[in-house]
Amino acid sequence: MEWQLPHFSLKPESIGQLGVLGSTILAWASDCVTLKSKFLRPYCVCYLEHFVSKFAASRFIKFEESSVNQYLAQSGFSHLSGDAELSTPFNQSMIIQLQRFAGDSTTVSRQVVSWVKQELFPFIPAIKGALKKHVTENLWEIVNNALTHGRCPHGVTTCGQFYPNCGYFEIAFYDAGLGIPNTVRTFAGKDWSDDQCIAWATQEGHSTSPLAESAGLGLHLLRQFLTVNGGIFQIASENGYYGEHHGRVNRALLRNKIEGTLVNLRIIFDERLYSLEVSDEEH
Amino acid sequence: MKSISVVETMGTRELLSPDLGHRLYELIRDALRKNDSVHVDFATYEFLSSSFLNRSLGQISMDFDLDQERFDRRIQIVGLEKDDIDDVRLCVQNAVMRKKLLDKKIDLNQYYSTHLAH
Repeated sequence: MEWQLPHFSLKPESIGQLGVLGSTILAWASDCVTLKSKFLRPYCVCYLEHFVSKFAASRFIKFEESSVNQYLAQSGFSHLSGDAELSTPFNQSMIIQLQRFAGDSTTVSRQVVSWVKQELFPFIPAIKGALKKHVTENLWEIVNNALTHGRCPHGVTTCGQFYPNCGYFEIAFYDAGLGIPNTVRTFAGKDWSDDQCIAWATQEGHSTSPLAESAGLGLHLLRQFLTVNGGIFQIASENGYYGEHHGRVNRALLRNKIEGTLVNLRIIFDERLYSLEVSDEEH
Repeated sequence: MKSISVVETMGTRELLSPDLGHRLYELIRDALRKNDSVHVDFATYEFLSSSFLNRSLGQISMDFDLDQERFDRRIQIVGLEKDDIDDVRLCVQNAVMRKKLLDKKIDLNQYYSTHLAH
């Protein structure tokens, strides 16, 4: 028996299908799950790797389409079935391989810097100078948020893809931790909907850290960076979805719950698009 | 005036982790207990995160009750790029706001129920 996956786009209802994918893998009777899809976005690969490793570590997955198996193999997917049919290799330099970060914050910060310098920037020559600095700092902030607030012992997993002809790259981060809505509701003691909770968490100064601690800027600065960059910012957590593109906010309630938190970004390779001042003057 | 070379004392140009931020907090805290002001030099740093700033300068602002004016008078920061100076100011403003809420013993449930983004 095979399961036909939907086409995974960047629309919220499509991202919400990850919840169906996760429950299908858990419910599958055999150790090898066969899925049907002609194309996987990086956020699906990121989710699959982390979810299967954490909740169904003995399961293996293969796709009917050999090119999808090939993409997973080159991404470093650790649960690819040994008998999965492979296709002609893709250009490896287009793939940001799977990476999992776990541990104390200083160790992980070193890992993140080493990873962006060795695995990310050498393949994106268009990213230079200050944009490199801002991308590194913002990617670190996502990892740090996941480790601090998600508290997932399994850490946070990332992977992505370069689209040089389109002038951007997409990168996703997934942790199967507490989830933003759960954390925010517990903290605020309010019966807010999941998408409201995520929206709240992205605002300047909002944090679930104790009031005596200085906190609450990470996601706000990330949003600010992506607004200037013209990229896309998406968070799906539990049944909540929050997205921003060119300053336009899109919120939705997902029909299917996603364990933990998925953050998906599209970042434009344009060194001018990193600073509010430069942006105001030149664009 | 006590002077702290951040990169030298942290042993890295990557000022990202909140744990490192806490180490800088301790250095500044000890210096401010003995001196009116402290000189904090970020020269040669490569990366600076909001989690590092919150745990260091933001926490100092809260614990020493320093609004922006008092912060600038007691902590002389040099060696930062302009974008990061802006982030330091944002961090201090945010810390000042949190300190005010803390001092007023604001009911967090009530506060956050009126500060929900729509």
